[in-house]
Amino acid sequence: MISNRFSSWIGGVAIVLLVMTAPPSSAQVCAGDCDDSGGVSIAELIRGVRIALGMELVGQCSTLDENSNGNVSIAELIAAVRSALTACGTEPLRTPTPPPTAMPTATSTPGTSDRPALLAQIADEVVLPAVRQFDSDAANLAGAAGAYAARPNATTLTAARAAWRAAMDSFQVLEPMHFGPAGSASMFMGGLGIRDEIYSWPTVNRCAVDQTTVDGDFEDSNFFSSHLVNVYGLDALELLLFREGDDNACSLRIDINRDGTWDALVSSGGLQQRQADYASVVADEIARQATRLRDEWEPSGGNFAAEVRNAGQGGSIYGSAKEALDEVFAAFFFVDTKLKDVKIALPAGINPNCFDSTCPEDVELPFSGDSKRALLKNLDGIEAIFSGAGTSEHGYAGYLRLMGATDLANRMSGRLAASRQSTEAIPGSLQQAVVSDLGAVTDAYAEIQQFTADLKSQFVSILGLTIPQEGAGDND
Amino acid sequence: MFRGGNASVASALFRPIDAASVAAFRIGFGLLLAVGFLRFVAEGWVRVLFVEPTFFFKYQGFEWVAAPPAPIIYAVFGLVCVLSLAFAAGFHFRLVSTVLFLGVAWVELIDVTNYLNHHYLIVLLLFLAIFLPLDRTWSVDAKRRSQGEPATIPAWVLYLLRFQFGVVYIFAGLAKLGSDWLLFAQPLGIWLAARDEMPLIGQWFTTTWAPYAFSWAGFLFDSTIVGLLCWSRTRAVAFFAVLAFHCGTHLLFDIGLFPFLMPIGATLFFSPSWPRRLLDRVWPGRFRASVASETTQRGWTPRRRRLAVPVAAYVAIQVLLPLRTFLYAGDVLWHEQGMRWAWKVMVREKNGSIVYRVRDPDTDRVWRVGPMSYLTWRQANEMTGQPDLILQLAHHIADDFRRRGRGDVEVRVDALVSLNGRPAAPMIDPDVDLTRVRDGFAQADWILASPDRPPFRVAQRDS
Repeated sequence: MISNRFSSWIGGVAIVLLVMTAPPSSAQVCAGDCDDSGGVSIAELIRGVRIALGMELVGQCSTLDENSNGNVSIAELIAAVRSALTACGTEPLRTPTPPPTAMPTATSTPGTSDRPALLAQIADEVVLPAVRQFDSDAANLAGAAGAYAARPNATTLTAARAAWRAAMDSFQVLEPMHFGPAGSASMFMGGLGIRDEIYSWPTVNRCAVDQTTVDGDFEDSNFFSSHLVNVYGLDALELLLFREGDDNACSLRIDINRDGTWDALVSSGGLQQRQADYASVVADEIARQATRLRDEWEPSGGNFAAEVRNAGQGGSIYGSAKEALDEVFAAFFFVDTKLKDVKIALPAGINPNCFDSTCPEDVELPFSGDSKRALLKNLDGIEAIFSGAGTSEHGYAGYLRLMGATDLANRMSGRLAASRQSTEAIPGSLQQAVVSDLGAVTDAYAEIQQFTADLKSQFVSILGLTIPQEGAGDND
Repeated sequence: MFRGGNASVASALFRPIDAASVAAFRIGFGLLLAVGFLRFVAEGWVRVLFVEPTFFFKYQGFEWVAAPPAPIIYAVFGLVCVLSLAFAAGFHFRLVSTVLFLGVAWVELIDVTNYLNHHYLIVLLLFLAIFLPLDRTWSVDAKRRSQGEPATIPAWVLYLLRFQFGVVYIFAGLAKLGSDWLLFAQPLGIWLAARDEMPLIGQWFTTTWAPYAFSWAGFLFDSTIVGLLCWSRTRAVAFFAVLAFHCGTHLLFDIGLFPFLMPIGATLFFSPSWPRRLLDRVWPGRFRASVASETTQRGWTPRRRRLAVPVAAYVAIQVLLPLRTFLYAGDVLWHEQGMRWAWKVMVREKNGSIVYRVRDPDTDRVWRVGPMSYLTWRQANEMTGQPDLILQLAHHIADDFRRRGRGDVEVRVDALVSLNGRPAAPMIDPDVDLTRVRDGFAQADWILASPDRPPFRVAQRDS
């Protein structure tokens, strides 16, 4: 008897192991649901093992014998275990998912049910409103740029610049959230690379924008599919709308200067109209991509918000909520790799890629003078993910508190606030400040570094996060 | 040294035993290696680990090992994969083992961030295979040899392989003998909490008891399993425990071949003829052993003495190398001196922020350089908790600045590291110019003391 029980147990363990590696079953019936309850319990699985071992009759659970041959095979047992794991094919076996906006209260504890709540909040209350806002601002930008192209004058230019500024503000908020459709396909699940189609910075080529202005390629209907991202997007638009004077960004050896075509365009008086036409085409494309991004997230469209919210459940591209959280975190890493190390460190001359003492020309937005403004908007986005937004306002910080890491949550919140304060304290534009008050810029860098130090150390450890790019190879 | 009563020891060590169990091990190990190398290529890890990086961390004494161009590294993986099959088949065994060892060791020595305990174990086993007669039976070589040659090996061959696997378990158990593991159940508490979506059992991973149960079970398993495998009365249960334990670790963690390699090794603790007995049940009469007729000399012959010296030296090295950990003051999980080659398997969770401060002493200009300027994501993550690698990259940064015409710079580092969920603490003295530090085996005074507060404890729920 003991050995029989032992065999059942071994058999059960073996089947569970087998099913982990088995391909999904396409069966529609609920294999192993002996009592027709709509699910398969552990007791039913054990009964299945006993039937397979000949210790009970097949008639005790006829749903196990899918091919009605009077025996229960290993394949049929695996189908039963799969039914148990997927609640008879409807969803994975798990605790009920709380409603999207309901973060657990402080008295609950972290676990499986908490990650979906955090993800739902990020998707529904942070990212979705942000992509809607950007879509709206991008549409306004397209309208303003069209008006500027129709009648290029100081008034329409001012309006187009204001619209660009509003669209850029809402896009900078989105920068730390570029997982899913906005992210690159090679780095993010569901990635469509929409972010780079809208704003390819730091991949910018201002000379190429001037070359395109001269050759008029932007009028080609295939322009966006036949040219690199560095000749369109919000970065190209900044140059087209904000650059003063008639100089171009190319060296004298480049064709438009060598063959005199740039000078000819300037002397003909057609430069502003050409740039306005180019700007209008680019703005229309930005608006199109913004709508595409929004549609990918909207419940009425691609509903990527549901992919995030339902991570780990049937139908989601994310195999688990943790996997989705890893991707959110990978996008969030923007604060370290781009905001701190490039946007601030490069113009401040503390990034070794700056060969002079400082590199004010390397600020992100040199023509509009909005680089500091962009930093603050980035911090808005970072804060929305970290501290939460909308009605529940928990974010990563709330999740850390649930994990028992209140000290870390408070410390990181404080450092994020200090980062904002020190960034706001940079006098004038970032481009001016790296020359006139470098200390203020390095102070902002130091504050953000304090935040990212926690982010990359205790935060990663406690939440058990994995950056996807780390995933290669094994451990031990 | 080898006289008197030791003659009986010699007789025991050199008595002929059935070569079947080591042959089964050879076949299993070879096939596992082939699958492992194929998997490495198929997953794209060859590109990530050997082609994409532009800088490789060197082992002390092996700085001359260079990363080959991509076509060669792919060719090496193809070669070792084929050789693994030849190894399993026992085809030109000594030559194949030698080339396989050199190929795998070369790949392993290319970059320290690729170090894994089970990779080290594989290299050691391949090294032993060069000298051990694992092809005495069930091999192409055995078929080609004269029919009269017995399918036996001296017993010490089997004992040495058992010792090699035993060392792994025992030192892995010893590595868990610390407060983080036993009193605070870390890092398992963190790891299990991150895996609470696992079907069926994940719901328990966030309970109070689960991390403790897993930690203590792991410690007791590693510490006792060798003894239980050696004792005939507990061997079968112990082997089942080996299977269950490694199945569990395979499902919970990404530890590659390790959960498969160790059960293959554990089969060596059974009777040398276990494969014959098993096969004899399936095909009666075809796999009977032929051991008894062989005669053996007694005592320590000159040849045996000559053989005993390198074997004893190998055994001593395998025992002493992990023990060197105890020569260093402080927490090895923090300073990592004596961490490698010591079977400290899955005992720490370390993450951190590394920012180098590079100063030109002539102009007083300071640059801040992150590891990502030189490393891949994976390398940067691996090096974060390893002081000697932080030092190596500091030297490389100084060399790079010199190459770029920025003269002799000073390199200091802000290395804030979290060990087992503790708040991040500085791991390297931020005032030390690392360009003036040479790595060595002495206690490193440029590594700061470990934080004395206990590791993080996940807020738990009981169910």
